[in-house]
Amino acid sequence: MVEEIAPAITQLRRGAVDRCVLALLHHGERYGFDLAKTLAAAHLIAGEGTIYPLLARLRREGLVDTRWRESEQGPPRRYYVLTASGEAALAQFRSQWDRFKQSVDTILSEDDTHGE
Amino acid sequence: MANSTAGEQRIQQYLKQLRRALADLPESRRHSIVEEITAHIQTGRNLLAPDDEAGLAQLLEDLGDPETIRHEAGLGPSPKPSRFDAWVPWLLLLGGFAFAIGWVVGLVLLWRSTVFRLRDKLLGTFIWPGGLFGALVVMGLSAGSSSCSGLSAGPTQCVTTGFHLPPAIGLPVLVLSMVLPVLVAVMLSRRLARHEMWG
Repeated sequence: MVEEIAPAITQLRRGAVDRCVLALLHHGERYGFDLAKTLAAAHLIAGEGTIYPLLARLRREGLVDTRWRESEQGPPRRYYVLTASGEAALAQFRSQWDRFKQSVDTILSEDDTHGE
Repeated sequence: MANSTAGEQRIQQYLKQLRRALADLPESRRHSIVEEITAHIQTGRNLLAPDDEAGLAQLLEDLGDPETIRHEAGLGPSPKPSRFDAWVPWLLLLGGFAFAIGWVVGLVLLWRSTVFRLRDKLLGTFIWPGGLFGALVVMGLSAGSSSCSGLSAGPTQCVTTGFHLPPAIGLPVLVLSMVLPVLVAVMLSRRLARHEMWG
Protein backbone atom coordinates (compact mmCIF):
# COMPACT_ATOMS: atom_id res chain seq x y z
CA MET A 1 0.00 0.00 0.00
CA VAL A 2 1.41 3.36 -0.99
CA GLU A 3 1.10 5.86 1.80
CA GLU A 4 -0.10 9.26 0.75
CA ILE A 5 2.37 11.96 1.73
CA ALA A 6 0.86 14.90 3.60
CA PRO A 7 1.30 18.28 1.87
CA ALA A 8 3.15 19.50 4.97
CA ILE A 9 5.80 16.82 4.56
CA THR A 10 6.09 17.49 0.82
CA GLN A 11 6.78 21.13 1.58
CA LEU A 12 9.32 20.25 4.25
CA ARG A 13 11.01 17.91 1.83
CA ARG A 14 11.29 20.62 -0.77
CA GLY A 15 12.81 22.98 1.75
CA ALA A 16 15.31 20.45 3.09
CA VAL A 17 16.41 18.48 0.06
CA ASP A 18 18.89 20.94 -1.36
CA ARG A 19 20.52 21.23 2.07
CA CYS A 20 20.66 17.44 2.15
CA VAL A 21 22.58 17.55 -1.14
CA LEU A 22 25.06 19.92 0.52
CA ALA A 23 25.36 17.48 3.44
CA LEU A 24 26.04 14.57 1.07
CA LEU A 25 28.84 16.58 -0.52
CA HIS A 26 30.32 17.61 2.80
CA HIS A 27 32.55 14.54 2.99
CA GLY A 28 33.75 14.67 -0.59
CA GLU A 29 32.80 15.13 -4.20
CA ARG A 30 30.15 12.92 -5.77
CA TYR A 31 28.64 12.54 -9.22
CA GLY A 32 25.02 13.12 -10.21
CA PHE A 33 23.95 9.51 -10.65
CA ASP A 34 25.22 8.61 -7.20
CA LEU A 35 23.51 11.61 -5.52
CA ALA A 36 20.27 10.80 -7.34
CA LYS A 37 20.26 7.18 -6.18
CA THR A 38 21.03 8.13 -2.57
CA LEU A 39 18.29 10.74 -2.35
CA ALA A 40 15.74 8.55 -4.11
CA ALA A 41 16.47 5.69 -1.70
CA ALA A 42 15.83 8.11 1.17
CA HIS A 43 12.53 9.15 -0.50
CA LEU A 44 13.67 12.76 -0.59
CA ILE A 45 13.15 13.33 -4.31
CA ALA A 46 10.14 12.63 -6.51
CA GLY A 47 12.13 11.30 -9.49
CA GLU A 48 15.87 10.88 -9.90
CA GLY A 49 15.87 13.35 -12.78
CA THR A 50 14.81 16.18 -10.49
CA ILE A 51 18.26 16.23 -8.92
CA TYR A 52 19.70 17.83 -12.05
CA PRO A 53 17.72 21.11 -12.08
CA LEU A 54 18.35 21.21 -8.32
CA LEU A 55 22.12 20.84 -8.78
CA ALA A 56 22.01 23.47 -11.54
CA ARG A 57 20.35 25.85 -9.12
CA LEU A 58 22.92 25.18 -6.39
CA ARG A 59 25.63 25.91 -8.94
CA ARG A 60 24.01 29.20 -9.92
CA GLU A 61 23.80 30.13 -6.24
CA GLY A 62 27.51 29.39 -5.87
CA LEU A 63 26.98 26.68 -3.26
CA VAL A 64 28.45 23.87 -5.36
CA ASP A 65 30.96 23.61 -8.13
CA THR A 66 31.72 20.89 -10.69
CA ARG A 67 34.82 18.95 -11.74
CA TRP A 68 35.30 16.56 -14.60
CA ARG A 69 36.99 13.27 -13.81
CA GLU A 70 38.03 10.40 -16.03
CA SER A 71 36.02 7.25 -15.52
CA GLU A 72 36.96 3.62 -16.16
CA GLN A 73 33.39 2.85 -17.10
CA GLY A 74 33.17 5.23 -20.02
CA PRO A 75 33.21 8.96 -20.80
CA PRO A 76 34.44 11.51 -18.19
CA ARG A 77 32.01 12.20 -15.38
CA ARG A 78 30.96 15.46 -13.83
CA TYR A 79 31.51 15.51 -10.07
CA TYR A 80 29.93 17.98 -7.68
CA VAL A 81 31.88 19.58 -4.88
CA LEU A 82 30.93 21.96 -2.07
CA THR A 83 32.21 25.54 -2.22
CA ALA A 84 33.05 27.66 0.83
CA SER A 85 29.62 29.29 0.58
CA GLY A 86 28.10 25.83 0.40
CA GLU A 87 29.88 24.80 3.61
CA ALA A 88 28.65 27.94 5.36
CA ALA A 89 25.06 27.41 4.15
CA LEU A 90 25.18 23.80 5.36
CA ALA A 91 26.50 24.79 8.81
CA GLN A 92 23.78 27.41 9.15
CA PHE A 93 21.11 24.93 8.11
CA ARG A 94 22.34 22.32 10.60
CA SER A 95 21.96 24.63 13.59
CA GLN A 96 18.61 26.01 12.46
CA TRP A 97 17.33 22.54 11.65
CA ASP A 98 18.28 21.26 15.10
CA ARG A 99 16.31 24.05 16.74
CA PHE A 100 13.36 23.59 14.40
CA LYS A 101 13.34 19.83 14.92
CA GLN A 102 13.46 20.23 18.69
CA SER A 103 10.59 22.73 18.68
CA VAL A 104 8.39 20.49 16.55
CA ASP A 105 9.27 17.40 18.62
CA THR A 106 8.50 19.23 21.85
CA ILE A 107 5.09 20.35 20.68
CA LEU A 108 4.25 16.96 19.17
CA SER A 109 5.17 15.17 22.41
CA GLU A 110 3.17 17.65 24.50
CA ASP A 111 0.23 16.90 22.32
CA ASP A 112 0.82 13.18 22.93
CA THR A 113 0.80 13.55 26.70
CA HIS A 114 -2.35 15.66 26.63
CA GLY A 115 -4.06 13.04 24.56
CA GLU A 116 -3.51 10.28 27.11
CA MET B 1 27.22 -1.98 -23.06
CA ALA B 2 23.59 -2.27 -24.07
CA ASN B 3 22.92 -1.28 -27.62
CA SER B 4 19.55 -2.72 -28.55
CA THR B 5 17.83 -0.43 -31.03
CA ALA B 6 14.47 -0.69 -29.26
CA GLY B 7 16.18 0.43 -26.07
CA GLU B 8 17.93 3.26 -27.91
CA GLN B 9 14.61 4.40 -29.37
CA ARG B 10 13.02 4.42 -25.96
CA ILE B 11 15.81 6.59 -24.62
CA GLN B 12 15.58 9.01 -27.54
CA GLN B 13 11.83 9.20 -27.04
CA TYR B 14 12.30 10.08 -23.37
CA LEU B 15 14.93 12.72 -24.14
CA LYS B 16 12.66 14.23 -26.80
CA GLN B 17 9.83 14.54 -24.27
CA LEU B 18 12.26 16.02 -21.80
CA ARG B 19 13.49 18.66 -24.25
CA ARG B 20 9.91 19.60 -25.00
CA ALA B 21 9.02 19.88 -21.33
CA LEU B 22 12.03 22.14 -20.77
CA ALA B 23 11.50 24.21 -23.93
CA ASP B 24 10.69 27.33 -21.92
CA LEU B 25 14.05 27.33 -20.17
CA PRO B 26 16.97 29.41 -21.48
CA GLU B 27 18.84 27.25 -23.97
CA SER B 28 22.06 26.81 -22.00
CA ARG B 29 20.18 25.70 -18.92
CA ARG B 30 18.03 23.27 -20.84
CA HIS B 31 21.04 21.89 -22.66
CA SER B 32 22.93 21.38 -19.42
CA ILE B 33 20.08 19.48 -17.74
CA VAL B 34 19.45 17.28 -20.79
CA GLU B 35 23.16 16.56 -21.08
CA GLU B 36 23.37 15.50 -17.43
CA ILE B 37 20.31 13.30 -17.68
CA THR B 38 21.70 11.70 -20.84
CA ALA B 39 24.91 10.92 -18.91
CA HIS B 40 22.78 9.56 -16.05
CA ILE B 41 21.01 7.21 -18.46
CA GLN B 42 24.31 6.03 -19.92
CA THR B 43 25.72 5.36 -16.46
CA GLY B 44 22.62 3.42 -15.51
CA ARG B 45 22.64 1.46 -18.73
CA ASN B 46 26.23 0.40 -18.25
CA LEU B 47 25.16 -1.34 -15.06
CA LEU B 48 22.53 -3.38 -16.88
CA ALA B 49 22.86 -6.48 -19.02
CA PRO B 50 22.84 -5.65 -22.76
CA ASP B 51 19.34 -7.03 -23.39
CA ASP B 52 17.75 -5.93 -20.15
CA GLU B 53 14.69 -4.09 -21.50
CA ALA B 54 12.87 -4.24 -18.18
CA GLY B 55 15.90 -2.75 -16.47
CA LEU B 56 16.00 0.10 -18.95
CA ALA B 57 12.27 0.73 -18.51
CA GLN B 58 12.81 0.88 -14.75
CA LEU B 59 15.75 3.25 -15.18
CA LEU B 60 13.63 5.67 -17.18
CA GLU B 61 10.74 5.35 -14.76
CA ASP B 62 13.05 6.07 -11.83
CA LEU B 63 14.21 9.21 -13.61
CA GLY B 64 10.64 10.45 -13.45
CA ASP B 65 8.16 12.16 -15.65
CA PRO B 66 9.59 15.10 -17.68
CA GLU B 67 6.78 17.27 -16.24
CA THR B 68 8.15 16.66 -12.73
CA ILE B 69 11.62 17.66 -13.86
CA ARG B 70 10.11 20.73 -15.48
CA HIS B 71 8.45 21.57 -12.18
CA GLU B 72 11.74 21.24 -10.30
CA ALA B 73 13.34 23.58 -12.84
CA GLY B 74 10.92 26.23 -11.59
CA LEU B 75 8.59 26.29 -14.54
CA GLY B 76 4.82 26.21 -14.25
CA PRO B 77 2.91 23.34 -15.81
CA SER B 78 3.27 22.94 -19.57
CA PRO B 79 0.82 25.13 -21.43
CA LYS B 80 -2.37 23.27 -22.20
CA PRO B 81 -4.38 24.23 -25.24
CA SER B 82 -7.51 26.17 -24.38
CA ARG B 83 -10.64 24.89 -26.02
CA PHE B 84 -10.60 27.83 -28.40
CA ASP B 85 -7.11 27.13 -29.69
CA ALA B 86 -8.38 24.53 -32.15
CA TRP B 87 -10.39 27.22 -33.93
CA VAL B 88 -7.42 29.50 -34.52
CA PRO B 89 -5.98 28.03 -37.73
CA TRP B 90 -9.39 27.93 -39.43
CA LEU B 91 -10.59 31.33 -38.24
CA LEU B 92 -7.41 32.88 -39.58
CA LEU B 93 -7.74 31.09 -42.91
CA LEU B 94 -11.46 31.41 -43.58
CA GLY B 95 -12.82 33.79 -40.95
CA GLY B 96 -12.29 36.74 -43.22
CA PHE B 97 -15.27 35.58 -45.25
CA ALA B 98 -17.49 36.20 -42.22
CA PHE B 99 -17.33 39.98 -42.67
CA ALA B 100 -13.64 39.94 -41.63
CA ILE B 101 -14.74 39.57 -37.97
CA GLY B 102 -13.92 35.88 -38.04
CA TRP B 103 -10.31 36.66 -38.92
CA VAL B 104 -10.06 39.28 -36.18
CA VAL B 105 -11.42 36.81 -33.60
CA GLY B 106 -8.91 34.24 -34.83
CA LEU B 107 -6.13 36.79 -34.44
CA VAL B 108 -7.11 37.66 -30.87
CA LEU B 109 -7.28 33.97 -29.88
CA LEU B 110 -3.93 33.35 -31.58
CA TRP B 111 -2.14 36.01 -29.55
CA ARG B 112 -3.83 35.03 -26.28
CA SER B 113 -2.93 31.37 -26.66
CA THR B 114 -0.21 29.87 -24.49
CA VAL B 115 0.36 27.03 -26.90
CA PHE B 116 1.55 28.94 -29.96
CA ARG B 117 5.07 30.35 -29.95
CA LEU B 118 6.00 33.85 -31.08
CA ARG B 119 7.07 32.61 -34.49
CA ASP B 120 3.69 30.91 -35.00
CA LYS B 121 1.92 34.10 -33.94
CA LEU B 122 3.87 36.28 -36.33
CA LEU B 123 3.34 33.91 -39.25
CA GLY B 124 -0.34 33.60 -38.43
CA THR B 125 -0.72 37.37 -38.37
CA PHE B 126 1.22 38.33 -41.46
CA ILE B 127 0.48 35.45 -43.85
CA TRP B 128 -1.88 36.99 -44.73
CA PRO B 129 -3.97 39.58 -42.93
CA GLY B 130 -7.51 38.54 -43.67
CA GLY B 131 -6.57 34.98 -44.56
CA LEU B 132 -7.84 33.70 -47.88
CA PHE B 133 -10.45 36.43 -47.98
CA GLY B 134 -7.78 39.09 -47.60
CA ALA B 135 -5.70 37.47 -50.33
CA LEU B 136 -8.66 37.45 -52.69
CA VAL B 137 -9.43 41.10 -51.97
CA VAL B 138 -5.86 42.16 -52.67
CA MET B 139 -5.71 40.07 -55.82
CA GLY B 140 -9.04 41.53 -56.94
CA LEU B 141 -7.93 45.09 -56.34
CA SER B 142 -4.61 44.69 -58.03
CA ALA B 143 -5.78 42.57 -60.95
CA GLY B 144 -6.92 45.70 -62.60
CA SER B 145 -10.09 46.58 -64.33
CA SER B 146 -11.07 48.76 -67.15
CA SER B 147 -14.13 50.82 -67.17
CA CYS B 148 -15.11 52.26 -70.41
CA SER B 149 -17.58 54.98 -70.92
CA GLY B 150 -18.62 57.05 -73.77
CA LEU B 151 -21.38 57.54 -76.28
CA SER B 152 -21.96 54.63 -78.52
CA ALA B 153 -21.33 56.78 -81.53
CA GLY B 154 -18.30 58.60 -80.22
CA PRO B 155 -14.91 57.58 -79.03
CA THR B 156 -14.93 55.48 -75.95
CA GLN B 157 -12.70 56.36 -73.12
CA CYS B 158 -11.34 53.59 -71.05
CA VAL B 159 -9.89 54.05 -67.65
CA THR B 160 -7.78 51.30 -66.33
CA THR B 161 -7.19 50.91 -62.63
CA GLY B 162 -4.85 48.62 -60.84
CA PHE B 163 -2.17 46.88 -62.77
CA HIS B 164 -2.06 43.93 -65.00
CA LEU B 165 0.35 41.21 -64.13
CA PRO B 166 1.47 39.14 -67.04
CA PRO B 167 0.10 35.62 -66.59
CA ALA B 168 3.59 34.20 -66.20
CA ILE B 169 3.93 36.19 -62.97
CA GLY B 170 0.31 36.67 -62.07
CA LEU B 171 -0.56 33.02 -61.94
CA PRO B 172 2.19 31.89 -59.57
CA VAL B 173 1.48 34.91 -57.39
CA LEU B 174 -2.17 33.94 -57.28
CA VAL B 175 -1.36 30.34 -56.42
CA LEU B 176 1.16 31.37 -53.75
CA SER B 177 -1.21 33.82 -52.16
CA MET B 178 -3.80 31.03 -51.83
CA VAL B 179 -1.42 28.28 -50.82
CA LEU B 180 0.71 30.09 -48.21
CA PRO B 181 -2.09 30.84 -45.75
CA VAL B 182 -3.27 27.24 -46.07
CA LEU B 183 0.23 26.05 -45.20
CA VAL B 184 0.29 28.38 -42.21
CA ALA B 185 -3.10 27.02 -41.05
CA VAL B 186 -1.79 23.46 -41.37
CA MET B 187 1.37 24.35 -39.41
CA LEU B 188 -0.68 25.89 -36.61
CA SER B 189 -2.91 22.79 -36.39
CA ARG B 190 0.12 20.56 -36.21
CA ARG B 191 1.52 22.65 -33.36
CA LEU B 192 -1.77 22.01 -31.53
CA ALA B 193 -1.73 18.30 -32.31
CA ARG B 194 1.80 18.00 -30.92
CA HIS B 195 0.73 19.70 -27.72
CA GLU B 196 -2.14 17.25 -27.32
CA MET B 197 0.33 14.40 -27.60
CA TRP B 198 3.08 15.61 -25.36
CA GLY B 199 1.43 18.24 -23.14
